[in-house]
Amino acid sequence: MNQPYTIRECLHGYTDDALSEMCERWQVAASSKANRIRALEKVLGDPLHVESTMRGLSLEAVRLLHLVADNGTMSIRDVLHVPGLYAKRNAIDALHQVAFLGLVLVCPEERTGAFSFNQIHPHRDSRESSPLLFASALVKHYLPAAEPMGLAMTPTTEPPSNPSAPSADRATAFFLETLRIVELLNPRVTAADSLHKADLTRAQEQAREAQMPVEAFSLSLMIALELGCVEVKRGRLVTTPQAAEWSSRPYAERMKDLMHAYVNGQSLPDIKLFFPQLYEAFDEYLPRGSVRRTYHRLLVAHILREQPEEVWFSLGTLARALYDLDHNVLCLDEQWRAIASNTRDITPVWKDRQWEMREQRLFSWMIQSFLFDLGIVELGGEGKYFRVTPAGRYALGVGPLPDRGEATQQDALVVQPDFEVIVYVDRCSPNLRRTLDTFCERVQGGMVSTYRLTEQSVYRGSRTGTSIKDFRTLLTANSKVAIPSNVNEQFSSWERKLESVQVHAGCEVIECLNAKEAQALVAEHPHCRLIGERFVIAREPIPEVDTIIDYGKPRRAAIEQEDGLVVRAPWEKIDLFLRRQLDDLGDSSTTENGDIILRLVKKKVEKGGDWSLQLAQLEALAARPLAGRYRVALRAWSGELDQAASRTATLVRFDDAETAQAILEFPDLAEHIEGSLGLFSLVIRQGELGSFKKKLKVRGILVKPGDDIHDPEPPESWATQWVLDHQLADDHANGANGANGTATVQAEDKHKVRKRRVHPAKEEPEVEEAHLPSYSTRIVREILEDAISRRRPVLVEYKNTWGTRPSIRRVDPVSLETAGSAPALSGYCHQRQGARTFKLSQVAGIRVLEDENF
Amino acid sequence: MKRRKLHRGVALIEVRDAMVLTEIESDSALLPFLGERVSNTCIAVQPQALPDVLRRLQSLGHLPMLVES
Repeated sequence: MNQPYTIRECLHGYTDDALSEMCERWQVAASSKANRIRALEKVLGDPLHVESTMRGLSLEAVRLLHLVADNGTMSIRDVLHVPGLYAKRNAIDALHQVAFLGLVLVCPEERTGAFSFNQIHPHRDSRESSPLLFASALVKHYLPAAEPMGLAMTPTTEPPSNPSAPSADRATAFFLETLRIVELLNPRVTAADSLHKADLTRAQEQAREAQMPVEAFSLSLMIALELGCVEVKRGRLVTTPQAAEWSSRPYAERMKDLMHAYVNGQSLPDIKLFFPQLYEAFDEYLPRGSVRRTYHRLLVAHILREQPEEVWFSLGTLARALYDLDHNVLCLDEQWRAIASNTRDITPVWKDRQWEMREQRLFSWMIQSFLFDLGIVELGGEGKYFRVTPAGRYALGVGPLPDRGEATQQDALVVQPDFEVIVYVDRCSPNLRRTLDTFCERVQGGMVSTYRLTEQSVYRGSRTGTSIKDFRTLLTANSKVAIPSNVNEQFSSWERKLESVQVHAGCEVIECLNAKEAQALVAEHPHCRLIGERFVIAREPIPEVDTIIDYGKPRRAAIEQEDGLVVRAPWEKIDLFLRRQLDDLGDSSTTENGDIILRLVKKKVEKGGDWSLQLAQLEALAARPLAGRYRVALRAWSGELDQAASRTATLVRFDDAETAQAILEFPDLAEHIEGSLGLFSLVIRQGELGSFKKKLKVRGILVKPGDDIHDPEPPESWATQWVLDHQLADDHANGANGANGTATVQAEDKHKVRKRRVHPAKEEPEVEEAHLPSYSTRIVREILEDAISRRRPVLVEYKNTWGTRPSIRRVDPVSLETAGSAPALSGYCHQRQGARTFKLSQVAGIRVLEDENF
Repeated sequence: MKRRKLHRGVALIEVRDAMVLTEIESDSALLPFLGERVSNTCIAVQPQALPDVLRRLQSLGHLPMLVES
């Protein structure tokens, strides 16, 4: 605590006489009050002076200074009423000594300009407000250690034969139970800081149910308030996070906290218990926050602190020591107590009787009840004797930290047959609480928490790395009561269930070509375990492996395309998922060297459903871009039928270019194809349309019949007639040279003749069909270049792509495309009445119409 | 000639009863994550899909124990 006032401020509150006395003591000569204050300030602020003064102090004065320094500020009356803490007698002398020397200063606000040393004694019995004393920081700094007061009690000559062990956990259990009751009830608090009557009754009922004495509840509540574990919030008592913090502290520290809170607690439950009729008077005359209010507990602690270990004392000895130290510990000499006790006169006889009836019983109860429950003392001889335990000495602040065995943590929890676990949180180690939180579901929090064991919670816990067996061991170790048999059986059942399915992550599995090699590998390497006929789990790396498939890396392309709808996966590229994927697409077989051969099968593809997904899988696995035949096959088999239709006897047009191109990749289909026309159409060999359609159908492609579809007979059957027809046509054309009208082209099949109207140009020149002069491509190109430059039309005998029927076209040449591999002529075709391109390689004959221009 | 292929970082489901593995294999939700049967009580599973596989196994009533190798 910081110094509340400066020395000068304090001295201003002193009377002239008091200052003169102090100056005289310090041999300081000063004429005025201001000079005296200045001179005294100099002296009291001089460390050398203070230090030298300290050396000459009596023991009582030093202890008094300690008392004041420890409390920050104390009133004069308060100091004088607790002489047992610093002097057996002569309290006033001790106070005079330190006050004269200026080692304790009077706070100025209390008695401004009016404090004199003569007033110290009257303050003892005055009911008026008493000046506050404090020790300066300099004094605190040079304050020597307080020596014991020599309060050794007379030990008993006959130590008890069978002492009862200190009940170290009872007080903490009561404390926890109190916290639980507070959490449960949230009792209301009245304006007088006491519990609401109804809530108090309910709380006491709860305490009785928990086999806790009512006075223990009151005492624990006082301690909880003192420790800050419980606070008043909106007129109700609630627990605070401090409670959990307290419970997580080591046992000895918790014990020390409880003892400290008990000694310094401002409530007076013990007084209420032993002085029921005087309680209100005590509450009134012992001001809150003063040392007087806790004097009776401080005094007991003070005496116990000075007693040696392992020495037995009788309770009577303690009472005598207390009486000798300060029989006025509970205001026995004071008038108000006699008045409150309806006593006319305070005689020594009355005092002795009161002491025996009240004080002695109170101090005996203190030893036998709270201090024993807390483990500060252990009892013997049926409670007549006691001795301070090592833990008690630590809690009293005089002994070393005791070493507490694990056995004291045994009753941290109770497992109930309904799978609920009652847990005393303060007794749990952090590890136990963490394990409980992971293995159980928390039903109710608080200092006495309830958890529930469920299959899922236990499973969740087991996944954190602690086995169910370890968890059971932990429960057993922390419970005095054995785990119920049904819970044990359920634990075993869960264990079996856990072991029935194990998922190994990040394994190193070695696949051998055959079982013999796998067995040899296991024999060779003891850290390997055979998990299948050909598979071995290795716990350590094995250097002798031919190939590594790393599942942490992107998947490698594993399949190679074979002829038709067959793919091959080499052994070294086959991972543990490939075979199952390939099995979904067709029939797989394994070769002698371990390769997988897969033939795509319609049934499996149809069953697989989404062809695009299957295709994507296949493409992802393929080392090179997948050939169109696989795509077409998968599409067709999965139900997305391709549509094809023929416009002429030999032409089949597909809906998409990819299908048309893919058809060419099937050898059995390609043999029926004469060539392709553009991207979408294929030209089928004459007379083979039927076979082609059947094969398409097998692959899921239906050819729609069109109204103009027909399949002419093979060329041998109609070629002769065709030639005749063409000759006739030539004759007719020659005869009708320059005549207007429609030209008809007879189809191949005379039975299914189809006349096609050919729209000639408006001024269609005479077309000389057939037998145009034939030249090499180079010559044709030169002729065309010349014609283009002179703007001369040309007659071109042009073979179509499929090369079946050459036709004579009249073309106005515009340009020659020679850049590509196939030079071509672009120009206006009069027969087709539009721009067309003619491959020079397919120009069978050419003639320039020299007499015309375009 | 010895031929050995190392599958590094693969995940496996190992069961005590072969029937359990058959049951697992017959689950359509698990099937996409499953690979080759290593034995009649052990099957490969895609390592990336382990959380999903564990969840699904739980929903099937199993308590799969994850063993990190």
